[in-house]
Amino acid sequence: MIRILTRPFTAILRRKKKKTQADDAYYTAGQMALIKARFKSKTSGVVAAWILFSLVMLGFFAPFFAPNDPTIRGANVEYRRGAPQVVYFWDENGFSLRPFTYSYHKEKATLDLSSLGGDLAALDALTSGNALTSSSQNKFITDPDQRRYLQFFFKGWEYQLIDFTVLDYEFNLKWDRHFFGVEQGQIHLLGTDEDGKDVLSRTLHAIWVTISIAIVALIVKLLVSLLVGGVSGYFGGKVDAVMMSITEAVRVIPSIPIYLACAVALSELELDATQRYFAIAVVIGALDFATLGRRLRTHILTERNQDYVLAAQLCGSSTWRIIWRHLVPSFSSYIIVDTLINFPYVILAETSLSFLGLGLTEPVNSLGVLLQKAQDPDIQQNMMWQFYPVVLFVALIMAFVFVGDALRDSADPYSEK
Amino acid sequence: MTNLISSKKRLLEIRDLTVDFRTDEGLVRAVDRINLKVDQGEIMGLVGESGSGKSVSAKSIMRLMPSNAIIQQPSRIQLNHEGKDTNVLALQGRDLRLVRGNAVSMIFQEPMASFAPAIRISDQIIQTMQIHLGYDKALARKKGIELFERVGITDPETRFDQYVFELSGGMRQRAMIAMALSTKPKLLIADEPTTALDVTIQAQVLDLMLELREQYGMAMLFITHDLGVVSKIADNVTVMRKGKVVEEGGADDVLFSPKHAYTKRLLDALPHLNDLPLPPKTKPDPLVSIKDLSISYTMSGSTRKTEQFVAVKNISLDLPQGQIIGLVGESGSGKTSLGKALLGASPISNGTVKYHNTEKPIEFGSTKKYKRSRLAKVAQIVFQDPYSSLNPRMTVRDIIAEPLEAMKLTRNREETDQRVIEIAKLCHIDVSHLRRFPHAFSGGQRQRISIARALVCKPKFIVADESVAALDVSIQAEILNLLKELREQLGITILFISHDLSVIANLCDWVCVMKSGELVEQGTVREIFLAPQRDYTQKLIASIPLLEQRKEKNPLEVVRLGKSSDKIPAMSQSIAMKCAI
Repeated sequence: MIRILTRPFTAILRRKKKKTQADDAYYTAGQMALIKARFKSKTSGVVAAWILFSLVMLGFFAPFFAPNDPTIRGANVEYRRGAPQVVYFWDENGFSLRPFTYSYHKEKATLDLSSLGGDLAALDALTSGNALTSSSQNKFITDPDQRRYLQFFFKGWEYQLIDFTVLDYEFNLKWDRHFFGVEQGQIHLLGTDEDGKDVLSRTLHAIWVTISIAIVALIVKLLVSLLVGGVSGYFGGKVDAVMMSITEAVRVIPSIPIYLACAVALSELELDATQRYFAIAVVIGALDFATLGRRLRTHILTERNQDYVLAAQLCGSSTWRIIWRHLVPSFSSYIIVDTLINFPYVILAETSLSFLGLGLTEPVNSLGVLLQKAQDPDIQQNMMWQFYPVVLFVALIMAFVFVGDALRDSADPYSEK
Repeated sequence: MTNLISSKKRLLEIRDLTVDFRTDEGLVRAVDRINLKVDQGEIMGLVGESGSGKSVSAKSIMRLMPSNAIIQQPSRIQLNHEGKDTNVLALQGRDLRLVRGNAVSMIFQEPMASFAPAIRISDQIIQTMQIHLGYDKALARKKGIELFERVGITDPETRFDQYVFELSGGMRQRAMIAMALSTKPKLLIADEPTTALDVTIQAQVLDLMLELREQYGMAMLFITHDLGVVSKIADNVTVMRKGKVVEEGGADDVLFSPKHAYTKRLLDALPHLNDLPLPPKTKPDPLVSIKDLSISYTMSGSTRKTEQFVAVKNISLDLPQGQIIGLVGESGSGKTSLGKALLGASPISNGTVKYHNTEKPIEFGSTKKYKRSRLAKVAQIVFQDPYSSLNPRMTVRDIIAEPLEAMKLTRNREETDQRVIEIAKLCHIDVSHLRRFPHAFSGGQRQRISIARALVCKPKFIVADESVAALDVSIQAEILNLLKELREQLGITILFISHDLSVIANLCDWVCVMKSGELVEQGTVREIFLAPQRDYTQKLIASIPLLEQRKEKNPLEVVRLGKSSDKIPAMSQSIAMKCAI
């Protein structure tokens, strides 16, 4: 009887204890923890964050996930312009737990030479043009009786995990296991392009290249914006007026012509692919400092006049301590959110440049380069599988946009739940 | 529930009003089953601190609740309009106009925020009249200017066409009253209308409201936290606390024979003029001497010539050691500039500031420089706004330890922590709260943290710049007690800057009165409050809303403030009444 009476009390006590633990966590939560907690309550943001994370992991570990070498070394000369090879678990020959695909052989190309009428010029035109290697000449017939079974942790082409040289000490770690592969020949889940390079492998490597360009560009942009915004915000007056005029002048210039000009300038220099790649990233980043720089300058101008900055000065803090300890943390969350929101724009900038042929070009793997293929009518009609990178690209951008949106809402103290 | 309108001509009746808000932490009950009645032509004073639910109740009469508010059953609000009984909570659509501006009108605390800043006042008032009364533009304009004249705005035709930022604080409030009156409401809800105003302007505005009540026969629901104001103006009083009605009744009953402990606490915060401390036998040595100090700010206009705004004109002052000195003045008198100049945070254009009895002599002025760290160990400041004076991204421990770490006064982290804990205990801050961030604390607790930060390097002198202005009355009392305790225990000198004379009367030993950058009068607190010499001081002292008992029960009598020559007799009369109770 007494136990029944005391049961509601113990329940209330237990509930109160849980509540105070939650209270404590709330009160001791720093700014990032509060933002994280709010972010977790937004489903679209969390789902997009998972998608983004998996795409980035796929890109980072691209050599592991890609069954073929994306460079010309891994090109499958026997399977050029090949359609995607489908993986089956079951066909008319029976069910198999291990996934398999069919082997194929090339159809004998038939050339109707009689239509030429013995005209040497026409024959010359035929052989020197693209007709002999065009898609209609490359047809492959699958052989359903011959199965090739997929293997996991397949031993395939060699790639480097870590490679750096420190003080003449070379550290080189190579590995050759892949997520999956086939015993004979190569598997092409998304088909191949005209040279025989696997579209899937190229796409996965391209994700990482594009993201790394974006990271470099955003770091450069951040540093330039911090410098411009910080100096003009903290000093104010004439310094501020001059720097803001320069910023506005730079912002007014449209971006594509500027990139054109920079691309022309870069082509004058003798750069190899990697250097060109970094140069593009730095150019994209350095020219885009206007918005963030102005925001930071406004923020510092307001925060500089806050009571707590004056209180810190009156407590005897030096200028450097005030900047580092009081002002910088106040916009660190803004910077993180802004950087994440700007990822898609930088990716788009690089992609448009490469799409136009001004940025990276073949044989570098980047999403822009892969998308450049969409300009070719031959590909549009006959090799639709080369459009798969578009799907992945759109997914990547949308994931960034959703995550950035949700993060911005969580970081904004005035937004409603 | 059958006949709510009795023969006493009841205007408004609120019964069992319950309002909940939907928040992150669940349903929060803001108002819990309150009952309120306002008769026609009566002024009801609704008293309570922030969080008591008084503003929410007032807004629910006008159906101005935010979207996450839920009015729970069985709340009822009945308004008697033109002989008919209207259920306010059941109004929909266009009928809501009845309670929003037509029969019920509202004036807010912050007049600058109540007018649209980019539209002329004339347009706003004319539009109100067009909507509710159906006047045409010319007639509305004429009525508007008449109203402006009635509320006491000088030069009404010019002022009517101005923008709201061109008017001063008191005039803005009058313009707001004019707009509220333009629709001839039966009930005027005033939500802390005089809190943001200076004492003298507050007296004038209260006068005005009483006159208008007499002229229009309008009922008023006057919301405030200041019991002195309530005693001046209200017929009936309701005291609210944390959403519940704690005490209600006639003004005289509630204010002079309070039954609830909370009401007694609120009454305690009013100035105890018969309880002022006696001055010490010998006047203590000065700690800080100011000589011929002038502070001027350069206003950079668009032209090359920079004007100088002189905030403080040639002041010489000695601050006695070990006492709490009050620096009083209205807004614009230069008191904040003077306080900051003592810490070297204002641009001094002339004169010197000298600190006595310090390890190394500190003297600075327009020509002499000083070392910041030397001054910071001797003098510190506590700011007015508890919300912007603490860095929101630092923990409380880091905030309090800032002076120690910035000036490297301690050797290692343990010693810093020890000092911080010591000071926190002195200021009644819970040690477990040191890990938290400022967003977890209320205004009063944040001021304690500011005070702890000011004390941690053991200064001799603290400037408290309007430190309790943003706090509720009962929290103010705690902070003032803390300051008195600190004076007893540590022997520090405190310069307390305020525009609120009741606070000064309760706290200070020595008072200096400033007006427009000049020192008008200074003396012990008894001298200033009981026998002020100068005209301006007398006017200031007479404007303090003290408890005044109504001479007759007639609610239509107007209690007016006389001219300055009547001040001293009025003062002693009220003191006599207080002493007699």
